[in-house]
Amino acid sequence: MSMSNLPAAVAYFTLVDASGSTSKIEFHVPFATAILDVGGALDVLRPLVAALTDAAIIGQGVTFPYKENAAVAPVAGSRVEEKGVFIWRTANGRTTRFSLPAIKDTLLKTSGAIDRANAAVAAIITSVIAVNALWCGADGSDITSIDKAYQRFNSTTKNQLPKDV
Amino acid sequence: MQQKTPQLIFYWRDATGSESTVRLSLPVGSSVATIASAAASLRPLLESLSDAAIVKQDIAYTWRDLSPPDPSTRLVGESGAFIFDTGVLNQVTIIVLPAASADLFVTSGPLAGIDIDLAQSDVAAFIAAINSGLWVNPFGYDLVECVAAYLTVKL
Repeated sequence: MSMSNLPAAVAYFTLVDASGSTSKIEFHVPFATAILDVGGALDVLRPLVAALTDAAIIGQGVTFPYKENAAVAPVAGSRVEEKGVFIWRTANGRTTRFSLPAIKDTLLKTSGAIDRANAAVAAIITSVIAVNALWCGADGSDITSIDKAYQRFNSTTKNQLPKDV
Repeated sequence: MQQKTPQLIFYWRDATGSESTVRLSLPVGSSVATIASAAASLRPLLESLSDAAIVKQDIAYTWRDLSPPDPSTRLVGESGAFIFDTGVLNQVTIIVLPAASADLFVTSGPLAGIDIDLAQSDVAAFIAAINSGLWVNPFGYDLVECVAAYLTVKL
Protein backbone atom coordinates (compact mmCIF):
# COMPACT_ATOMS: atom_id res chain seq x y z
CA MET A 1 0.00 0.00 0.00
CA SER A 2 1.41 3.37 -0.89
CA MET A 3 0.02 6.78 -1.65
CA SER A 4 1.31 8.61 -4.68
CA ASN A 5 0.49 12.20 -5.49
CA LEU A 6 -1.30 13.27 -8.63
CA PRO A 7 0.71 15.47 -11.03
CA ALA A 8 -1.10 18.66 -10.06
CA ALA A 9 -2.79 20.23 -7.07
CA VAL A 10 -6.18 21.92 -7.51
CA ALA A 11 -6.49 25.60 -6.57
CA TYR A 12 -9.89 27.26 -6.61
CA PHE A 13 -12.01 30.27 -5.76
CA THR A 14 -15.45 29.75 -4.28
CA LEU A 15 -18.08 32.15 -5.58
CA VAL A 16 -21.66 32.94 -4.59
CA ASP A 17 -24.35 34.55 -6.74
CA ALA A 18 -27.26 36.74 -5.68
CA SER A 19 -29.53 33.71 -5.25
CA GLY A 20 -27.10 32.22 -2.71
CA SER A 21 -25.93 29.44 -5.01
CA THR A 22 -22.22 28.69 -4.86
CA SER A 23 -19.79 27.44 -7.44
CA LYS A 24 -16.05 27.20 -7.97
CA ILE A 25 -13.51 28.19 -10.57
CA GLU A 26 -10.66 25.68 -10.52
CA PHE A 27 -7.06 25.85 -11.64
CA HIS A 28 -4.15 23.44 -11.40
CA VAL A 29 -0.63 24.02 -10.11
CA PRO A 30 2.35 21.63 -10.13
CA PHE A 31 2.06 19.37 -7.08
CA ALA A 32 5.46 20.43 -5.71
CA THR A 33 4.46 24.11 -5.51
CA ALA A 34 4.90 25.45 -2.00
CA ILE A 35 1.67 26.47 -0.30
CA LEU A 36 2.98 30.03 0.17
CA ASP A 37 3.58 30.32 -3.57
CA VAL A 38 0.11 29.02 -4.36
CA GLY A 39 -1.40 31.52 -1.95
CA GLY A 40 0.60 34.30 -3.58
CA ALA A 41 -0.48 33.26 -7.06
CA LEU A 42 -4.12 33.18 -5.95
CA ASP A 43 -3.71 36.68 -4.50
CA VAL A 44 -2.55 37.89 -7.93
CA LEU A 45 -5.34 36.12 -9.77
CA ARG A 46 -8.20 37.03 -7.47
CA PRO A 47 -8.83 40.63 -8.63
CA LEU A 48 -8.52 39.53 -12.25
CA VAL A 49 -11.19 36.85 -11.74
CA ALA A 50 -13.34 39.28 -9.74
CA ALA A 51 -13.29 41.66 -12.73
CA LEU A 52 -14.81 38.96 -14.96
CA THR A 53 -17.64 37.65 -12.81
CA ASP A 54 -20.83 39.04 -11.33
CA ALA A 55 -20.60 36.54 -8.47
CA ALA A 56 -18.70 37.38 -5.30
CA ILE A 57 -15.54 35.52 -4.31
CA ILE A 58 -16.09 34.28 -0.76
CA GLY A 59 -13.16 31.93 -0.34
CA GLN A 60 -10.27 30.14 -1.93
CA GLY A 61 -8.37 26.94 -1.42
CA VAL A 62 -5.88 24.45 -2.73
CA THR A 63 -6.09 20.68 -2.47
CA PHE A 64 -3.10 18.36 -2.87
CA PRO A 65 -4.54 14.96 -3.97
CA TYR A 66 -3.04 11.51 -3.50
CA LYS A 67 -4.14 8.13 -4.82
CA GLU A 68 -3.62 4.73 -3.18
CA ASN A 69 -1.84 2.57 -5.73
CA ALA A 70 -2.75 -0.79 -4.24
CA ALA A 71 -5.81 -0.43 -2.04
CA VAL A 72 -6.61 -3.49 0.02
CA ALA A 73 -10.03 -5.06 -0.41
CA PRO A 74 -12.50 -3.96 2.25
CA VAL A 75 -13.72 -6.69 4.56
CA ALA A 76 -16.86 -8.45 3.33
CA GLY A 77 -19.96 -7.00 4.98
CA SER A 78 -18.32 -3.70 5.88
CA ARG A 79 -20.55 -0.62 5.71
CA VAL A 80 -19.30 2.97 5.96
CA GLU A 81 -22.52 3.97 7.72
CA GLU A 82 -21.36 2.07 10.82
CA LYS A 83 -19.16 4.68 12.45
CA GLY A 84 -16.68 4.74 15.28
CA VAL A 85 -17.08 8.24 16.70
CA PHE A 86 -14.04 9.61 18.55
CA ILE A 87 -14.62 12.85 20.45
CA TRP A 88 -11.50 14.62 21.67
CA ARG A 89 -10.84 17.45 24.15
CA THR A 90 -8.63 20.30 22.98
CA ALA A 91 -6.32 22.54 25.00
CA ASN A 92 -8.85 25.38 25.02
CA GLY A 93 -11.52 23.17 26.59
CA ARG A 94 -13.54 22.59 23.43
CA THR A 95 -14.12 19.32 21.60
CA THR A 96 -13.39 18.06 18.13
CA ARG A 97 -14.24 14.75 16.53
CA PHE A 98 -13.79 12.37 13.68
CA SER A 99 -15.99 9.46 12.68
CA LEU A 100 -14.21 6.37 11.42
CA PRO A 101 -16.22 4.45 8.79
CA ALA A 102 -16.91 0.71 9.17
CA ILE A 103 -15.59 0.43 12.72
CA LYS A 104 -14.58 -3.15 13.51
CA ASP A 105 -17.14 -4.90 15.72
CA THR A 106 -14.30 -6.56 17.69
CA LEU A 107 -13.42 -3.15 19.11
CA LEU A 108 -16.83 -2.61 20.68
CA LYS A 109 -18.19 -3.38 24.09
CA THR A 110 -21.70 -4.84 24.29
CA SER A 111 -22.97 -1.34 25.11
CA GLY A 112 -21.68 0.04 21.81
CA ALA A 113 -18.86 1.97 23.47
CA ILE A 114 -15.45 1.60 21.86
CA ASP A 115 -13.15 -0.44 24.11
CA ARG A 116 -10.33 1.96 25.00
CA ALA A 117 -8.39 -0.94 26.56
CA ASN A 118 -8.09 -2.61 23.15
CA ALA A 119 -4.48 -2.31 21.97
CA ALA A 120 -5.34 -0.87 18.55
CA VAL A 121 -7.70 1.69 20.08
CA ALA A 122 -5.14 2.63 22.70
CA ALA A 123 -2.54 3.10 19.97
CA ILE A 124 -4.66 5.58 18.00
CA ILE A 125 -5.53 7.52 21.14
CA THR A 126 -1.89 7.72 22.17
CA SER A 127 -0.86 8.84 18.69
CA VAL A 128 -3.46 11.59 18.38
CA ILE A 129 -2.92 13.13 21.84
CA ALA A 130 0.89 12.78 21.90
CA VAL A 131 2.68 15.97 22.92
CA ASN A 132 4.47 16.22 19.60
CA ALA A 133 1.46 15.24 17.50
CA LEU A 134 0.12 17.87 15.11
CA TRP A 135 -3.56 17.05 15.34
CA CYS A 136 -5.80 19.85 16.51
CA GLY A 137 -9.33 21.18 16.43
CA ALA A 138 -10.67 23.29 13.58
CA ASP A 139 -9.71 26.40 15.57
CA GLY A 140 -6.09 25.22 15.82
CA SER A 141 -6.21 24.21 19.50
CA ASP A 142 -4.12 21.08 20.25
CA ILE A 143 -5.92 17.80 20.96
CA THR A 144 -5.01 16.79 24.51
CA SER A 145 -7.25 13.87 25.54
CA ILE A 146 -10.03 11.51 24.46
CA ASP A 147 -13.48 12.44 25.73
CA LYS A 148 -15.83 9.81 24.29
CA ALA A 149 -15.65 6.95 21.79
CA TYR A 150 -18.66 4.98 20.62
CA GLN A 151 -20.38 3.24 17.75
CA ARG A 152 -23.04 5.10 15.80
CA PHE A 153 -25.04 4.29 12.68
CA ASN A 154 -25.47 7.03 10.09
CA SER A 155 -28.36 7.09 7.63
CA THR A 156 -27.57 5.60 4.25
CA THR A 157 -27.33 8.38 1.70
CA LYS A 158 -28.86 8.22 -1.75
CA ASN A 159 -25.44 7.54 -3.25
CA GLN A 160 -24.80 4.72 -0.78
CA LEU A 161 -27.98 2.82 -1.68
CA PRO A 162 -27.39 -0.42 -3.64
CA LYS A 163 -27.54 -0.05 -7.41
CA ASP A 164 -28.89 -3.55 -8.16
CA VAL A 165 -32.27 -3.29 -6.41
CA MET B 1 -8.61 36.30 3.29
CA GLN B 2 -8.32 34.45 6.59
CA GLN B 3 -6.64 31.03 6.47
CA LYS B 4 -8.44 28.16 8.17
CA THR B 5 -6.66 25.17 9.67
CA PRO B 6 -5.50 22.79 6.92
CA GLN B 7 -7.19 19.40 6.73
CA LEU B 8 -6.02 15.88 6.04
CA ILE B 9 -8.85 13.90 4.45
CA PHE B 10 -8.81 10.10 4.16
CA TYR B 11 -11.34 8.57 1.74
CA TRP B 12 -12.63 5.11 2.70
CA ARG B 13 -14.54 2.50 0.68
CA ASP B 14 -16.57 -0.39 2.10
CA ALA B 15 -17.51 -3.76 0.63
CA THR B 16 -20.55 -2.30 -1.16
CA GLY B 17 -18.45 0.38 -2.86
CA SER B 18 -19.85 3.21 -0.73
CA GLU B 19 -17.39 5.89 0.32
CA SER B 20 -16.94 8.06 3.38
CA THR B 21 -14.26 10.36 4.79
CA VAL B 22 -12.28 10.98 7.95
CA ARG B 23 -11.11 14.58 8.36
CA LEU B 24 -8.43 15.79 10.73
CA SER B 25 -7.23 19.34 11.32
CA LEU B 26 -3.65 20.53 11.62
CA PRO B 27 -2.08 23.83 12.69
CA VAL B 28 -2.00 26.73 10.26
CA GLY B 29 1.46 26.85 8.69
CA SER B 30 1.84 23.08 8.38
CA SER B 31 3.53 22.22 5.08
CA VAL B 32 2.32 19.55 2.67
CA ALA B 33 5.37 17.43 3.46
CA THR B 34 4.77 17.66 7.20
CA ILE B 35 1.11 16.71 6.86
CA ALA B 36 1.92 13.87 4.46
CA SER B 37 4.41 12.48 6.96
CA ALA B 38 1.89 12.69 9.79
CA ALA B 39 -0.68 11.01 7.57
CA ALA B 40 1.69 8.13 6.81
CA SER B 41 2.15 7.56 10.55
CA LEU B 42 -1.53 7.76 11.43
CA ARG B 43 -2.89 5.74 8.55
CA PRO B 44 -1.98 2.21 9.71
CA LEU B 45 -3.35 2.96 13.16
CA LEU B 46 -6.70 4.01 11.66
CA GLU B 47 -6.76 1.07 9.27
CA SER B 48 -6.38 -1.36 12.16
CA LEU B 49 -9.71 -0.08 13.51
CA SER B 50 -11.80 -0.25 10.34
CA ASP B 51 -13.11 -2.89 7.94
CA ALA B 52 -13.19 -0.32 5.12
CA ALA B 53 -10.16 0.47 2.94
CA ILE B 54 -8.44 3.80 2.38
CA VAL B 55 -8.45 4.56 -1.35
CA LYS B 56 -7.13 8.14 -1.49
CA GLN B 57 -6.24 11.16 0.60
CA ASP B 58 -6.25 14.91 0.18
CA ILE B 59 -4.37 17.66 1.98
CA ALA B 60 -6.60 20.73 1.81
CA TYR B 61 -5.87 24.36 2.58
CA THR B 62 -8.72 26.89 2.62
CA TRP B 63 -9.17 30.60 3.18
CA ARG B 64 -12.34 32.60 3.59
CA ASP B 65 -13.11 36.22 2.82
CA LEU B 66 -14.37 37.87 5.99
CA SER B 67 -16.13 40.69 4.11
CA PRO B 68 -16.98 39.68 0.54
CA PRO B 69 -18.69 42.12 -1.80
CA ASP B 70 -22.36 41.72 -2.70
CA PRO B 71 -22.91 39.65 -5.84
CA SER B 72 -25.07 41.01 -8.64
CA THR B 73 -27.85 39.19 -10.39
CA ARG B 74 -26.12 36.86 -12.86
CA LEU B 75 -26.34 33.21 -11.76
CA VAL B 76 -23.32 30.93 -11.20
CA GLY B 77 -24.68 28.53 -13.84
CA GLU B 78 -24.14 31.16 -16.55
CA SER B 79 -20.46 30.42 -16.97
CA GLY B 80 -17.60 31.31 -19.24
CA ALA B 81 -15.52 28.34 -20.40
CA PHE B 82 -11.90 29.20 -21.25
CA ILE B 83 -10.01 26.57 -23.26
CA PHE B 84 -6.26 26.69 -22.61
CA ASP B 85 -3.68 24.84 -24.67
CA THR B 86 -0.36 23.59 -23.28
CA GLY B 87 1.51 23.17 -26.55
CA VAL B 88 1.68 19.44 -25.86
CA LEU B 89 -0.43 17.20 -28.11
CA ASN B 90 -3.81 16.34 -26.56
CA GLN B 91 -3.05 18.30 -23.40
CA VAL B 92 -5.60 21.07 -22.94
CA THR B 93 -7.65 22.22 -20.01
CA ILE B 94 -10.89 24.10 -19.49
CA ILE B 95 -11.28 26.76 -16.82
CA VAL B 96 -14.92 27.52 -16.07
CA LEU B 97 -15.78 30.94 -14.67
CA PRO B 98 -19.15 31.04 -12.85
CA ALA B 99 -21.50 33.99 -13.43
CA ALA B 100 -19.45 35.36 -16.31
CA SER B 101 -20.22 39.04 -16.66
CA ALA B 102 -22.23 40.11 -19.71
CA ASP B 103 -19.46 42.62 -20.50
CA LEU B 104 -17.15 39.79 -21.57
CA PHE B 105 -19.07 38.68 -24.65
CA VAL B 106 -18.83 39.82 -28.25
CA THR B 107 -21.71 42.11 -29.14
CA SER B 108 -21.98 41.63 -32.89
CA GLY B 109 -21.97 38.79 -35.38
CA PRO B 110 -23.55 35.34 -35.21
CA LEU B 111 -21.83 34.52 -31.92
CA ALA B 112 -22.88 37.67 -30.12
CA GLY B 113 -23.54 36.88 -26.49
CA ILE B 114 -21.94 33.42 -26.89
CA ASP B 115 -18.28 34.00 -27.70
CA ILE B 116 -16.11 35.73 -25.14
CA ASP B 117 -14.11 38.64 -26.53
CA LEU B 118 -10.48 37.59 -25.94
CA ALA B 119 -9.38 41.16 -26.63
CA GLN B 120 -11.57 42.67 -23.91
CA SER B 121 -9.18 44.25 -21.41
CA ASP B 122 -10.22 42.29 -18.30
CA VAL B 123 -10.32 39.06 -20.29
CA ALA B 124 -6.90 39.74 -21.77
CA ALA B 125 -5.46 40.49 -18.32
CA PHE B 126 -6.85 37.23 -16.93
CA ILE B 127 -5.52 35.19 -19.87
CA ALA B 128 -2.09 36.84 -19.60
CA ALA B 129 -1.92 35.99 -15.88
CA ILE B 130 -2.83 32.35 -16.54
CA ASN B 131 -0.31 32.03 -19.39
CA SER B 132 2.55 33.61 -17.44
CA GLY B 133 1.81 32.17 -13.99
CA LEU B 134 2.46 28.76 -12.48
CA TRP B 135 -0.88 27.38 -13.68
CA VAL B 136 -0.86 23.98 -15.37
CA ASN B 137 -3.33 21.38 -16.61
CA PRO B 138 -4.25 18.36 -14.43
CA PHE B 139 -1.26 16.48 -15.80
CA GLY B 140 1.21 19.20 -14.92
CA TYR B 141 1.70 20.81 -18.35
CA ASP B 142 2.09 24.62 -18.47
CA LEU B 143 -0.82 26.60 -19.87
CA VAL B 144 0.48 28.73 -22.73
CA GLU B 145 -2.43 29.96 -24.85
CA CYS B 146 -6.16 30.55 -24.57
CA VAL B 147 -7.57 29.17 -27.81
CA ALA B 148 -11.27 29.78 -27.24
CA ALA B 149 -13.73 31.08 -24.68
CA TYR B 150 -17.50 30.98 -24.74
CA LEU B 151 -20.70 30.90 -22.75
CA THR B 152 -21.79 27.66 -21.17
CA VAL B 153 -24.98 27.41 -19.17
CA LYS B 154 -25.86 24.85 -16.51
CA LEU B 155 -28.99 25.47 -14.48
